Amino acid sequence: MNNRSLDSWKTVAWNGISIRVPSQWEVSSLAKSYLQLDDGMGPVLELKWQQVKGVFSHQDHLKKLARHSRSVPGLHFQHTSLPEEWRQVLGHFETQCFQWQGGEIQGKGVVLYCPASKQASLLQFYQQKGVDGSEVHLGVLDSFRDLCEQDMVRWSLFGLDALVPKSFHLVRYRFEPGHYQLEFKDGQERIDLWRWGPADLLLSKKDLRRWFEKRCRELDWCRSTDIRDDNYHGRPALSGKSLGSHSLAARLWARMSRKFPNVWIRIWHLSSQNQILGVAARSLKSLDEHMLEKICRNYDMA
Amino acid sequence: MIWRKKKKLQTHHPVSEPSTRLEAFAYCPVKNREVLAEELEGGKMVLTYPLVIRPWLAGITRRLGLQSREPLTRRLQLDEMGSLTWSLLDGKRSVEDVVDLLCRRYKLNRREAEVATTGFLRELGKRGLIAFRPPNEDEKEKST
Repeated sequence: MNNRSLDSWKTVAWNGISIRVPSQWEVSSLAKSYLQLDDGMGPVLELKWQQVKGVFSHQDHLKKLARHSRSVPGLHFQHTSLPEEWRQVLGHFETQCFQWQGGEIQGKGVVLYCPASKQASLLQFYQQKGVDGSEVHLGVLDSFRDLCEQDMVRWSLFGLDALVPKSFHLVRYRFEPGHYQLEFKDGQERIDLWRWGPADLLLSKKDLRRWFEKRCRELDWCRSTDIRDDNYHGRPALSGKSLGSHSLAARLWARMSRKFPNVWIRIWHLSSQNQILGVAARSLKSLDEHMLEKICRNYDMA
Repeated sequence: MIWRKKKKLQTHHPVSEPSTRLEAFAYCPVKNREVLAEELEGGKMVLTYPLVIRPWLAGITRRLGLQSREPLTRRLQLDEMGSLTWSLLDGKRSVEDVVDLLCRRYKLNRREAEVATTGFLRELGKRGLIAFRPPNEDEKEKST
């Protein structure tokens, strides 16, 4: 693979997996453990992954795929041996390869299982008949990582780039024009990552504080914090936190009323990217501010 | 059969519809000439456009004597991004050109700009404020 062409590729990381793909490929369909990417003409790559609790069987999954393919008229599915160049880049996975053909489109994919992380993944490439994408496919497979072993999980999509502790699981996500949101949960603790844009439109004729106070009406749980103007690494920012009482009665009341007494917020204006970023956390217990600072440090827009 | 479904009239569509996303992006949005754009302070725009009433409703209002002589109009206030997008529609720029310009102007992610622009243009199209001209229409006009 040409190194120069790989330099222009971008990273897509989502819920424990990471790949590098050509810059014109973009996510067109998204679920918690599913990604589909297209190149502007149509789908080019599909990924699914999940943690396996018991024994993993490649054969069972391939049989399931074959059974599913039989329900699609004109689709021919077959198991194939793993190409040698794929074997070289997927050495640390247990693999099983397959391909299918239907009409003008054909696909080639691989079922991967990592015994160390116990994560099974399925990658399949779509391509038009007669088009050779083998070099690109090899580059994508070479970059494929399941990040189960790391303490911080990377989230990199639509320009957003963040690292979140592994113990936090994705609860909700939203990628709408002008507003992105990722919400994570670990027990009774929640973390929100926000991105609003374009900042020059949102902040026209008002400062960050006035804008957020208006926005805060939608975020009811933010109201308890004493938001103050701040400076975060030379950027205009807002910070706020509210510390709940540690008494048993207060904690019990918080639990019953479903109000989080401990809230931590930081909002900053990333003028170089014309975006506003925000990290917020809420919990029944006291919050780990070092961890939240680390999340802020690693949260950026590409 | 009394309740037989009416057959749809076969209408001839001289303008072909785009079959792929790329083709759709090459179409040029063209403003409706009857739309009046008024610029407010701060660069925001208000569009005033004639309201098209369904024929059956127009018939009822006429019979009841409720129809006013002045044409009914509606107003649509655009935000700054919508106003900028509206001002970029000159009948020559394609949807792709508009997306490119917005991406550069607001440093937006390409897909985000595409979703925002196409959603906005779709809304304008639904209200009859714009139409879409196929990319080769200009050449046809010139040759005739």
